[in-house]
Amino acid sequence: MRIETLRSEGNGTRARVAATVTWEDCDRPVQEVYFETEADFSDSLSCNPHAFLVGCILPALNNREKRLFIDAEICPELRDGLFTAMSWIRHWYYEPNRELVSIEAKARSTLPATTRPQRTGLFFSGGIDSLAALRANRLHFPMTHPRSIKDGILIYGQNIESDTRPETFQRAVRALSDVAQDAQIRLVPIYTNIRSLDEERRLFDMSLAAILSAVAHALAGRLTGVSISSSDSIPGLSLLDITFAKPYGSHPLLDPNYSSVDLRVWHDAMTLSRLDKTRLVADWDVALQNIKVCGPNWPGDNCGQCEKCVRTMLALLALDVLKDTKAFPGNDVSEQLLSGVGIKRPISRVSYTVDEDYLELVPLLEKRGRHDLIRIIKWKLSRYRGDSEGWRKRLQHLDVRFLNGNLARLKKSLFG
Amino acid sequence: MKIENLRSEQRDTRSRVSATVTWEDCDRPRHQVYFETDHAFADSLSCNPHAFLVACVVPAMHYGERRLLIDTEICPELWDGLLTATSWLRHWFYPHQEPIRIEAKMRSHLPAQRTPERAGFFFSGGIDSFATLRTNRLHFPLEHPWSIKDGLLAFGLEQDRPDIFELVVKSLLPVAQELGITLIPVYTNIYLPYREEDAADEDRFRFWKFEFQGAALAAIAHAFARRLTVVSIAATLDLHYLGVWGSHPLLDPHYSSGDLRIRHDGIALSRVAKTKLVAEWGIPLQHLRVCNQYRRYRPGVFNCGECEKCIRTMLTLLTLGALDQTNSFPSQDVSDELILKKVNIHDDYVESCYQHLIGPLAEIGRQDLVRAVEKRIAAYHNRKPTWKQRVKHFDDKYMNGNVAKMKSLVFHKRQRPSNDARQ
Repeated sequence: MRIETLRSEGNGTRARVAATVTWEDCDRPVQEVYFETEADFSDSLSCNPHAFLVGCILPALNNREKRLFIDAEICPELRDGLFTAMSWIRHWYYEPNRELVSIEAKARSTLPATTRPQRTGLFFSGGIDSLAALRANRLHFPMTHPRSIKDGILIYGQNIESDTRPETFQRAVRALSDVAQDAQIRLVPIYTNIRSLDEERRLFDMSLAAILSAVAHALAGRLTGVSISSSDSIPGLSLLDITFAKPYGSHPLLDPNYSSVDLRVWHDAMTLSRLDKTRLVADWDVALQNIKVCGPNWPGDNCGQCEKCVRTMLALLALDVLKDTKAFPGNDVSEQLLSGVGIKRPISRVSYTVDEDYLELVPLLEKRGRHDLIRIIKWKLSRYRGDSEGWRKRLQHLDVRFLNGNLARLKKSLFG
Repeated sequence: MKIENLRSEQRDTRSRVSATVTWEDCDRPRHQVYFETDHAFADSLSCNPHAFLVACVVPAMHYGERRLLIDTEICPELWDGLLTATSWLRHWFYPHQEPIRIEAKMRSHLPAQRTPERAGFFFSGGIDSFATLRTNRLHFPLEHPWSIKDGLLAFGLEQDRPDIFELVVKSLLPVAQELGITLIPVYTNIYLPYREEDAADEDRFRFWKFEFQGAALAAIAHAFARRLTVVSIAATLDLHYLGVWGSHPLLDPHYSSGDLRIRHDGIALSRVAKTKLVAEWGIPLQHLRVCNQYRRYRPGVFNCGECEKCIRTMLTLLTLGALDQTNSFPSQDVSDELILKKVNIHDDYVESCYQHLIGPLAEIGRQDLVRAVEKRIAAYHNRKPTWKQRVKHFDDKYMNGNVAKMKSLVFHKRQRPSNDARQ
C-alpha cells in the first residue's frame, strides 16, 4: 500500500486534509481518504502523515498488504507502537503466521517544530462512556491542568452501520453542543471517509481505536493528547482468552500504541463499571437530557427499543432518574419492553460483560421494588445460560462462567 | 500509610533523597525509604514526591492500608494512573479489598521549569534490556530526544550485596560508553523492608514478581525526573504469554506523570527475537548478564552457566550460531546432561520458551538437546505437585481464581503476611 499526495484543501465551509491510497497486493481501487472539519477549526486540522498511517494500517493488514509506504517522516515512537498494535491484533484476530505490514517511511529525527500548548481532547459520542469519562476528568483534573479535557470530538463517517444522514449528524452536533458548553469544552466535528478503505464490520470491531486515533492525529495541530473512553471495565477488559472471546478494537493494551511522541492516546475511565458511569451522568442534568446510546439510530434519537437503549433506560430507572430525562421515548421500562430485548449468548466478550451490566442493577431495582424487572433479567440471563434448558446448558454455563471455556476445548480435543 | 518528611541529604560519596513512611493499619514499623546516587549525578536526583508515592502505593495495598497520605502536591495524571494500576492489581489479587485512597493535593499545572526531553531505560545487561536499547537505536535517530541517553542500574531490588553490585557497575561501564549511554547507578531500599518475607513466601518472591517490580522501577525513574522525561522498562513476558506480572503493559504506563512517561517496551518481541537482536548487534554479547545467581558473581563472570535462565539463554544463542562468539558464559556449548540435570521448568512462559527452541535446535542438528528439552517439558507437564499446588493450579487455570476468591470471602483471608493487625 502506498499513501501519497498528502494535501490540504478547503472549500470555504470546511477544511480538508487528504491523501491518495494505492493498494499494491490486492485489487482494490485507488482511493482518496480524507479528514474534514468546519472552517472554524481549519487551523486545528493538520496534514499529518500519522493520521493516514494510523487510519490505513489495519485495512492494510486485513487485506494482506506486505508494506505500507508513506513518503513522509514519521515518529519512531508511533512506528514502534504500530508494530505492537498490529502484533496484538494479529494475536487476537488472525492466524499466528500472518505477516505484519512493513512500514516504510523515514524516521523523524526531531520533535515537531511547533510548540503548541498542551491540550487534551476526548472522543465524544454522547454515549454513557464518553459522558462519564468527561465527568470523571472534571473530577480528577483541575481545569488548568493540561490533561483537563478541552475539546470533544464528534465523528461523522465512523459508524456507517448507524444513521448516516448528514442532517442527523448536524442535529447531534447542536444537541451535544449544549453539553459541551456546560462542560466548558469545544465540540469539534470531524468528517472522514476512512472506513471506505474497507467497510467490513469485523474490521471496524478491531480497528475502532485506530480510526479514532487517526482522527486525533489529524487534529495534532490542536491536541497533544486524546482520551478514548473505555467501553468496558477492568473485569471485562481482563478477559483475554482469545479462544473464548475476542477483545474489542479499543483496549488499554492497544490504544496507547497509536500514540506518537507529540500526541498521546489514552484509554480512559476503565476503572468505572457501567453503573458507575451511568451514576456520573445521572447527576449531570444537561448530559442526562442528551444521552445518545442507540445502536441503530446513533447519533439520532434513542429508539428506546434496542438492547442498548433498554439497558441504559434500566440503569437510569434503577438510579431513579429515567423519569427526569427526555433522552428516551418512555420514562419507564415495562416487563414487556424488557422481555422483548434480546441479550446475546455469551460467546463474545461484549455479551459477557453486558451480562454483568444487568446483574449490577439488581440490588438497586430491588430497592425500587421492581421485582418484575428483576425476574425478567434473571430469567433472560438464565435462559441464555441454559438453566431452564437442561443439564447440557447448565454445564455450558458453568464452563463459560467458571472454567474459561476449557471444558468445551477439552471436549473438542478429545472428540473433534 | 503516611509519607512525610521528604528531604534531600548529602552523604559521603552519594546524594540521597528520603522520606519517612508510617503504617497506619498494620503493625509494621515506621521506616525511611531512600533513593541515592553517586555525586556525579547529584543534580539529576530530585526529592520528587512521585518517587515515594509510586514506591509505597503497592506495598500499602499489599499490606491492607486503607489510605496513602502524602502532604505535597502531586500530578493528577499520576493520581489517576495509580487509581488504574491499583485497580488492576486489586482485580488480580485483592478482589474483595476496598480500593486504597490516595490523599494528596493535586497540582493544577505542570512544573514551571520543564526538563528538556531526555530518554532513559533500566539497564541490567540482560537480554531484555539490551533488546530495548537495540530497538531504540534502530528506530530512533541518535539526535531524536527519545533516543536513549541514560541507563539506570538499580541496587537494592533483586541484589543486596554492595560489593557484587560494584562488580556489575564496573563490567557495564565500558559497554555503556561504547553504546553511547551514561550508566547511572541508583541505590534504594524501597523493596528491602519486604524482601525477607517475600523470600520466605511459598512462591518465592511472589510480591516482587507479581505485584511490585514495575512500580519499584517507576519510582526510581521519578527520582530522576529532573533529568529524564521518558523511561523505558523492558518487558519480561511477550504478548503471547502475558499473564499477571508486576511489570506489565497494563501497569507500568500508569505510573507516568505529566512530566515523566513510563514505557513498557518490547512486549511484541519473543525472547528468541530479542536474543537474535542482541546477538546480531554483537557488542553486548560480551557483556551479557542474565543469571540471577548474583552471589556467585566474580570479576568478569556474571553467568553461572548452570541455572535454568543461563541454560535457556545459551541454548537460544546456540541456535543463532552466537554462543561460540561470546565469553559471557563459562562454556560455548550446552550438553544434554546439563539440561537434564539443571533445567527445571516452573511456569507456562518458561515452558513456551523451551517449546520454541525445539525447532531451531533440530535445524542445527542437535537432536541430543531436542530430546533433553522434550524430557524437561514432559517433566513439567507430569510434575507431581502437592495437593495445595494442585488445587491452586486447577483454580488458576480452569476456575479463573474463583476458588481462592471464594475462600477469601468465606475466611476473610488473602495473601498477606501474618502480622496484619486487622486480622
